[in-house]
Amino acid sequence: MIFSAACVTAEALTFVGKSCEVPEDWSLLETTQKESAAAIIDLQTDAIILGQPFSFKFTLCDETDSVPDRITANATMPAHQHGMNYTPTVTFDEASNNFEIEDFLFHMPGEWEITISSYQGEAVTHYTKIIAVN
Amino acid sequence: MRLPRYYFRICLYLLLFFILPKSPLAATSNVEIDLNSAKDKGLSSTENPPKQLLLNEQQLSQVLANGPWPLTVKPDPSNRLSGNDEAIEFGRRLFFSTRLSGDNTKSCVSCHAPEEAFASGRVIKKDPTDLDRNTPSLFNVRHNRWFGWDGSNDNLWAQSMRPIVSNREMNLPIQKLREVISESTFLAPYRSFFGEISEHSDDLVLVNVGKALAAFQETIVTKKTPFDNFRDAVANKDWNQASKYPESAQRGLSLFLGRGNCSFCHSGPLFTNGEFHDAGVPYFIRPGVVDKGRHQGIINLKQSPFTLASDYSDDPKKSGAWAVEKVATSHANFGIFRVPGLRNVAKTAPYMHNGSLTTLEAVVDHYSNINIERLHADGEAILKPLGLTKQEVQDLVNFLESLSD
Repeated sequence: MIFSAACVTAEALTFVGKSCEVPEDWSLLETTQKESAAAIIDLQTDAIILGQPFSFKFTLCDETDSVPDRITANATMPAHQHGMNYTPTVTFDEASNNFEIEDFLFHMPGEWEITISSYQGEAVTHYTKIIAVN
Repeated sequence: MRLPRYYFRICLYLLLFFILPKSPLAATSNVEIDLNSAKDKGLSSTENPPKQLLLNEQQLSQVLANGPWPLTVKPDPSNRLSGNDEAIEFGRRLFFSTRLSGDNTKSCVSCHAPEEAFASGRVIKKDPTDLDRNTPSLFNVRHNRWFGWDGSNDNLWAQSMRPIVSNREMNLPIQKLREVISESTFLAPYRSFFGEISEHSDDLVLVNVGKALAAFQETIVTKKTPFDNFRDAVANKDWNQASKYPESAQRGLSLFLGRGNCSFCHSGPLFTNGEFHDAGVPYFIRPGVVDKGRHQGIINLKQSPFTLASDYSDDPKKSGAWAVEKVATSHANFGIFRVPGLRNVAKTAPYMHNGSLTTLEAVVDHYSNINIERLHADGEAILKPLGLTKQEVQDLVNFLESLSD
């Protein structure tokens, strides 16, 4: 029991400290910068087709509603030491306050690490999520 | 307090190990075929019990992704002739015509011979006039995203134009093409599909000829293979039919999906991810001259006026243009080449971008004993020496041969 409690505590400490209400079909990203705003994406892993481009949305759970100066998005396969062969496009949709990330393409099966970086002035926060693609 | 990311994962693994019951069918176990169960489910059976399949559940699941075959096709929206029977016949006549060469001696067939799997069976660089690269087979070419070993083109009609005007291939001056079409029986079909040739620029005449050639090449599709019969049987859970797939091919397939890492790049129904990788093949053409592969291909692509993003495409939506617009340049592209599909691979020797390997055994040996010093130091970490036994090499070859119709 103590062991389980320790595990749960450890997991809680690994994620960002700030709270975020995660809508259905969205998921939290991880970051090593615990003072940063939480970030979520609406990526449905099951819908990804190998070799075909796909898009998803990204947004920050920022109570101040401030919009980052710039967002970049990329992905790599840690096991194979390579990234994507295409450069995705990131655009901001004012109406929804979401960033639209278009033309991601995973060309190999396995684990991909998505990295989304948020730039605000001199500050940058890196968010990651590892997903498995078959 | 901040704990390393892997701390809780270790905890989780320990919990799983000690608390969760062992699965009755571990992921790596072989599938036991239960005939009675198969009968209950209405699956086919034979008088003789089927042999046990040699692939585990995960591998059988992976196999499903290699089909079904043939693929459903739609006309190419960038080519108004795509799928048009009369245009296909026009393209076929052009494909076989030596009039598309500068000296009237060569046609598309000279290198893409139907009896040689629409490729060239000869080992290249035997003669100084030979080309530097292996002629790729045209089987299933309609499904490509990129064309040629370096992906210099993003569509089949542009790729079909290239050899006509290349001075190392058919060597027909672009200005002469109008004359060839105008003064031949090609003029009537040209006019019916594209209008008056006199109103067309030299480039447009070439594009239109390319589109007719592409319409014909789209029909070059491989048939169902022994592997497809196996794959479909697995999909239908028809284990009796599945067990007819030879054991050696099954063992080869298991290696292909597993230890060999082949399926990382040779994936999907075409057995290719359509992208570019380092296969550990030297890219020196001759001393001091290298084949830059995808690196040069992207340069050519970005400079081409004939991409899917261009006005030469008949697709008003310019679907597919995203790829040329977003393809990423990287120093890792130097000396890497397109992963060929493996359907009918037993018929398309020689192999690799430079045609340096003449048999499937040699290809499997190449990967089994790959010289990692030849791989880009900053590149992928996929290939490694496998040290396959003689039997394993034969199993992989038998599997590859089962991909041919």
